Amino acid sequence: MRNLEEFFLEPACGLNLEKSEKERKKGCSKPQPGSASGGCAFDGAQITLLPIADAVHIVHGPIACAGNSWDNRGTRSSISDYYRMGFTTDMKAMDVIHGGERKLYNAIIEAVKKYNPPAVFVYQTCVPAMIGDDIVSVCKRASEELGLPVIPVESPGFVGSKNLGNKLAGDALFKYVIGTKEPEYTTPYDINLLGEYNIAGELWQVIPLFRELGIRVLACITGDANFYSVATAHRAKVNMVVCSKALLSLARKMEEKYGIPYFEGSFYGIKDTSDALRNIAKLLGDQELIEKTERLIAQKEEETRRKLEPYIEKLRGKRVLINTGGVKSWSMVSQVQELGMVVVGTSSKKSTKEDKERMLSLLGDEGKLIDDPNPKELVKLFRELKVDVLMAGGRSKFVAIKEGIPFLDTNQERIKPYAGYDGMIILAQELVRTIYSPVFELYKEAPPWQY
Amino acid sequence: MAILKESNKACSVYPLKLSQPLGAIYFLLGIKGCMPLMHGSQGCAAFAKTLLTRTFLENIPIQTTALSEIATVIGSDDNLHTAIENIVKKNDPDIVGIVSTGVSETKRGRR
Repeated sequence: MRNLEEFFLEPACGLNLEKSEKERKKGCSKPQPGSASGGCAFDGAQITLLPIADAVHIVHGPIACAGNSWDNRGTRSSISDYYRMGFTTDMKAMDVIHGGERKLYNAIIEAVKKYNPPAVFVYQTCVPAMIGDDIVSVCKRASEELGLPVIPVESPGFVGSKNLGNKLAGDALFKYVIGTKEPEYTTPYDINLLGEYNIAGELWQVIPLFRELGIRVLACITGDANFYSVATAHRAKVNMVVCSKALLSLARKMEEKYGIPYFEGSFYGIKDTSDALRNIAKLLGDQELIEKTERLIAQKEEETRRKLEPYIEKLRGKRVLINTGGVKSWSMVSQVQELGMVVVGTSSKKSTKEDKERMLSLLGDEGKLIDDPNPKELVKLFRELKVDVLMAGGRSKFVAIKEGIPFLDTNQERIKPYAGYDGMIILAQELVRTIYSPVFELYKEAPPWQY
Repeated sequence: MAILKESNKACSVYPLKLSQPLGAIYFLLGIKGCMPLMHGSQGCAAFAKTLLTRTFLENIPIQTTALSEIATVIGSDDNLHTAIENIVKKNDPDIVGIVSTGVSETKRGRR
């Protein structure tokens, strides 16, 4: 196992810069026994890499790692179905005793012979890591034998949290994938999107905007990606890190090695989308493109605002409570404020000091920061603050529904895409539908047979 | 008569098979006031939790001992004690059902 320290010392990470020397040595926050929730590093690595849809992803471990997590993300692809199939070596007691290297090797050969993918990703999990299976050597041998890239992803679950897994996967991409192929042609307007996983097809709401500007998304890492495009990512002119602290180190490393400038942005909300487009145009540094971008932004903003009008009328003054994590909590705040709604609270877990300040300035007097509430506290807060709708992830979903609270899923399990200008309209529609749904009133009444 | 056939392939595709600990948790969830505790990495519990939540459309209580790589090598008893303490303090269940996982079992074998 290699040294994990470099990931804890990430210089581009805002959360890290705030820490003292001593805190930094301790590394990122560790999961606590008995009160931890959320996925492991292996989960994080899968999240980052599985959307590379034409590659075969073999999970080397017992059945729980692949079987229990099979197809649990909302990412979409237009290329292939391999990412949803779930390949695993399904280690059993005998494999633990005798070692799983041979089985892994055979599994790689079998999968490649049958499915003929352009590349194979192999994920290390806890059990083979403990018995000392050397997946790097196995991958190297298989790669030589088959003549195609076989990439080891060393992300056994016990090394840390989901976020660390994202970083480890980014590292695997940097080490083994990016820069191994050349694009057929390059344009001065090639960009990469980092940390956009095409959840519910959000990438497809953004791509048309770029197309209109003549910007080519060379590689999206990794939403709707194919292996070839990711391998050619080093030829892009700008990297945009989309709403995720996870792939920041990858962006920094690419800047150092290939001189690609990067910035952090988001596609949630009218303002953020416009800002992102502006930033890209500025970094590409073409005067004509900058003017063209301004024209497109003006036209799209006008069009979106006009389409939003009927919804804003219904949503104005409605009170909303947001419970998500990280960057999303403030980018979403500005998004719903654009709809004329009042944000009465947003969670500040996983947020940096900078994030928090940004949130506070956005919230004004009305809103307050809440710190990772458990379901009970959330319901209490909801009642106290007289909230009209709760925007949160799947973890609060069933609590909210059972309590008869209007709820909108805004996490990775969501079904509707909320990115870009079109996403804004969809969000407004969903909010109106949720808030004005009669079901939450009917739910509180006695059933007809009890009248 | 039914014939039980073992696959001799190295690579399982479309793994329509769930893990043993998941079955144990399913069993424990049937006991009133029981909090299942998975003795393994935090992902073991997280995957089981999401899967059961998606299946039953209910909030599923599962806790984890969140074993780290160091704990799996040096000893994981501390994690188990802290986890039980934390659960009793926070959730006050009638029963804590401890389920071993691949990680804790592999560790036990090596001792």
